Amino acid sequence: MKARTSGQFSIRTILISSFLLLMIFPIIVITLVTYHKENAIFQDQVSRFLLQTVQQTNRSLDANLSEMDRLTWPILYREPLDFLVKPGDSSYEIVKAAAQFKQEMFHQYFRGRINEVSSVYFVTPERILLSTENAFQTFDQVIPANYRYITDHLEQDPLSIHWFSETYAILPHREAYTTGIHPSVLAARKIVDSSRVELQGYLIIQLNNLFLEDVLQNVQIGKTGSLLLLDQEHELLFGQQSPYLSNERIRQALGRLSASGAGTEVIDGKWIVAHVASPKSGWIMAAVVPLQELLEPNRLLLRNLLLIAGLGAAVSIFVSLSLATNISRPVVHLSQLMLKASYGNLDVRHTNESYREISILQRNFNNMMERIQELLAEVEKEQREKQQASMRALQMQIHPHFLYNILDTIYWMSKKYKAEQISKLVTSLGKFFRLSLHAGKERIPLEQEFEHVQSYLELQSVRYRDKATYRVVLDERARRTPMVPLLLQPLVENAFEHGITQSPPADKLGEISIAAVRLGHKVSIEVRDNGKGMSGQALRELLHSLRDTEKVEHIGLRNVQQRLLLAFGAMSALRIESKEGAGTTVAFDIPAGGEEA
Amino acid sequence: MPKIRWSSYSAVALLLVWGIGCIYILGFSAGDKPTSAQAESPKTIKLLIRTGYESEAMRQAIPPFEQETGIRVEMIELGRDEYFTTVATQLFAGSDDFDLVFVPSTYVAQFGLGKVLLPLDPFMRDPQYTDEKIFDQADFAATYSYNRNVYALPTDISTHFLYYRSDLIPVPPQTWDEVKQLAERFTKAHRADSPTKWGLGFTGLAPEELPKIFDTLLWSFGGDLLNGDNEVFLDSSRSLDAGRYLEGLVRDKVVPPDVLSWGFSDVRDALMNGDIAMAAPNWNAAYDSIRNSDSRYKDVIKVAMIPGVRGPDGTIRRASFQHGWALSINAKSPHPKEAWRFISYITGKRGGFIYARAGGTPARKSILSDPLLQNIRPEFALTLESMKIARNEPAVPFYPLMIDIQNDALTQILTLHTPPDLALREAGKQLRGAAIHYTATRQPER
Repeated sequence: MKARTSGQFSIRTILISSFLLLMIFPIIVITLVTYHKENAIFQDQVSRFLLQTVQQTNRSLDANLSEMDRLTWPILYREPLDFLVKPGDSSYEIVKAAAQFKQEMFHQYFRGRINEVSSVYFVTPERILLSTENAFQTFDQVIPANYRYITDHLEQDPLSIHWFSETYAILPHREAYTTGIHPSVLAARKIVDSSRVELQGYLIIQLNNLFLEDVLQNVQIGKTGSLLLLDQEHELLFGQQSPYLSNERIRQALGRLSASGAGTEVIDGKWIVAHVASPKSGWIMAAVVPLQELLEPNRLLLRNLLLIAGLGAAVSIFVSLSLATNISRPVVHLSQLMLKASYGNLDVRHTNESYREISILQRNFNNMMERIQELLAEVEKEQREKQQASMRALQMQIHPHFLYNILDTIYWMSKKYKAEQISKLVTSLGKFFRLSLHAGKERIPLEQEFEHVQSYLELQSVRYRDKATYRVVLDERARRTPMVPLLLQPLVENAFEHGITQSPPADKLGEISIAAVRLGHKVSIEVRDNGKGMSGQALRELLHSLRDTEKVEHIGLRNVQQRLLLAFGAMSALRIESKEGAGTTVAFDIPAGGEEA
Repeated sequence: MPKIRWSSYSAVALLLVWGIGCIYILGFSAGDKPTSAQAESPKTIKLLIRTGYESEAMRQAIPPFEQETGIRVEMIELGRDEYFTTVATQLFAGSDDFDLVFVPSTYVAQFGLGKVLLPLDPFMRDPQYTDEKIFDQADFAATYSYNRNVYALPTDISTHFLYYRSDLIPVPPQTWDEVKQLAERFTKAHRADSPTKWGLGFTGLAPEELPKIFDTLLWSFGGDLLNGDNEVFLDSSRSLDAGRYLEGLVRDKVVPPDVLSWGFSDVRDALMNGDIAMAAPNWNAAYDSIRNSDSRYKDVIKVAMIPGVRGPDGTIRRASFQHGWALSINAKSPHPKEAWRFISYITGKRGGFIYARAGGTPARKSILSDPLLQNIRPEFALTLESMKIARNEPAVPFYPLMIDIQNDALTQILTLHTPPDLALREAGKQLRGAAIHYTATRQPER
């Protein structure tokens, strides 16, 4: 018994869609926005931190170079140099000079940094080599090209210490053992006698790998990043082990790095290089880190956000289904009940408890169904009574032409035989029937109803000539007031039947008065007799019988009551007052108004 | 009130679980937070060591210790040229940059006097640190003490052998005179058809090698440096004989003229290259290196007991130098207990076995005499034999000065600058002055 209209969605579908939209959309949007924003911020910050790390490390290295430079300054001020030898000195004197040179270099000048110094060489203008190495060495063992390269640089800038890569070592190195210590960069300085401005010689300090490693080895560049040190010709002086160094693109990029200043650049969108050039040595320090690694925390964040979003979506779907089902169930149930009611099943009732608003709907639905059932019962009853009234009216109908012709014959015979009383009686009877026959109208003017009653009274007055009189008073303002026809006649008839005829007072004349008075928006109508009246008990029973439709007594009065209520509502309910021995008054009100009748 | 369905409860529970899950998952997004395990880095001890075959062997023996104890050992290697200067400087400067230091036994007295090393006796005697039965101190070929305190335990024992080309010299010479005769025969300057350029080679490096080479000659010839009472014998007649013999090797050109620049590896390489027919006195450590090399002569290079001097009764007086390289604990070590654990491991039988397999020569008699090891290291038997006639240098606090005096005299002799008698007499004079000076302040322990 489903009623689905194409193109319309169920409340459950709409609720689920809404909930899902409200829950999942923000999750997705927040996830994506957070990721992209975080990505940008992260990359920027990481680049800056990377550059700061490189700059800081470079400052440390420069401080190291400066310290090494300062260690050579006392040699410049020392005059004369005790270890100098003269050409022609014997081997022993040269060995002694070398021993003294070593003693001074290692114990005096470089003692604090001795673990980073492989050897110190001093080459005199006469090309006598003094070395700190245990092995006795002579200038013949020097590599001429490297020596020339170094001295050329020193001559170009004689006041500064110069730094060179191990490629320019002046003596060949042979690895006698497997060791982690090996020659690294060189520092060279021209030593001039300041008082005579004469060349004393060239001081060349061969440093080992610890010199750079002490500063650079423990610098952590991410997880797999590398810290590199390049010389002036972009050749590698120091490089933390990294697979990225074998990458040709990175090597090319490193070869293009500026020999001054600092900066960062991204290679092929895969690697980021932060670099800074040292003004002291001309070396370039660079840190190479794969972007993927730098953004790894962000990727992890994205993964987790996606995981959260996925779980959130699953939870949202479940929650949406649950909420939508819970919210829509009473509404759906109510709609199904309504559907049943629309098919005529008015006994359905909503019994489940639900949310407050839905409960109100449910209660109102139940009330409405009960009210509809009551109304239907009332309508049914009214129809039944209407049919009964119609039947009674039909039973009372007499063929008008036959009746009028007979009355007309009686009238003319009474005239012929001078029976005025009869002719008057026949005239009233005729009027009475005529009005009765017009009683099929729903409304008639009050004056017509009064005319009908007056005809009745005239007929009855003939009958009760010596027992009763009557008085009819109709307010001029109430003449046109619409009135249900044939209402007053049963009341007047009751007044005769129960007030006058059944127990006529012995000492007084029965009197019946009918009055209609307009009082504002209503017309008050009253039928009064001065008959025997009713006891209080009888009056209560009468009033009760008017409300009880099953009783067979007082059908006429109840009929009047019901017709009044149907026509004019509760305002027209009959008011009955009676006092035993003093008579009975039956009154009611109807709405004033004369145009509609 | 409407009845709340289980699905509503489930929904609320799911939302709660989801919320808590979000917090938990996002907790991991911070990425590189160290876990508690990571935060607690293992304790690291640092070992200052000289570059050489000892450091090569040590490097291989460290990993088992690290795995067993969880203590990380970081080696700080220094070149041979600046090693002694650096060690002395750092120890006397109170540096705590290292926990363990690799010292030659001859420096123990100087460092002990300066209190720059921790005495090892408290660790050896404390059962909390040492199980004496396992440790077995009596098994050591030598321990190095000063003032009755042990300051160093040897990881390596070194002594001098005669190395010779068995394809050229089937029977090794027994005396130094025979050595010189054979050297002339296998020197091209004397015999143009000599298959080798030089008959003999040895290391003449200052400051450590040359005096030790000479000590073997000195003791073989019956000379000496100092006795236990710091009496000087460097200028004795037998010492002068040794000096003359040394000068004769240079003067007669049976050794390379630049012998002063020949180090341990130069002599070894000259043997392997076929440049020299003999090397003596030469360190025992070279043999394993030669055997494991790809030299074409590695199988014909043999070792023999150091030659001596034949006496009037025909007996040969031999004497070989021996010293040990030992491990000591820096007095300023931040981790002395962990440092001792490493010493007890590496000088112990198990560590020593690993060390021996890696090329070292442990100073434990039980290891040197182990048949399994002797199969791998055949020179161990000769080492044990040599140790019977081997002598230490005098453990004097003025050891560096003594070495300098010796070096100066020996350099004069080897450069033919000064006759050996004059050079050694002057050296004896200087050494006597040094001994008198230091004897006046403190009596060293031999």
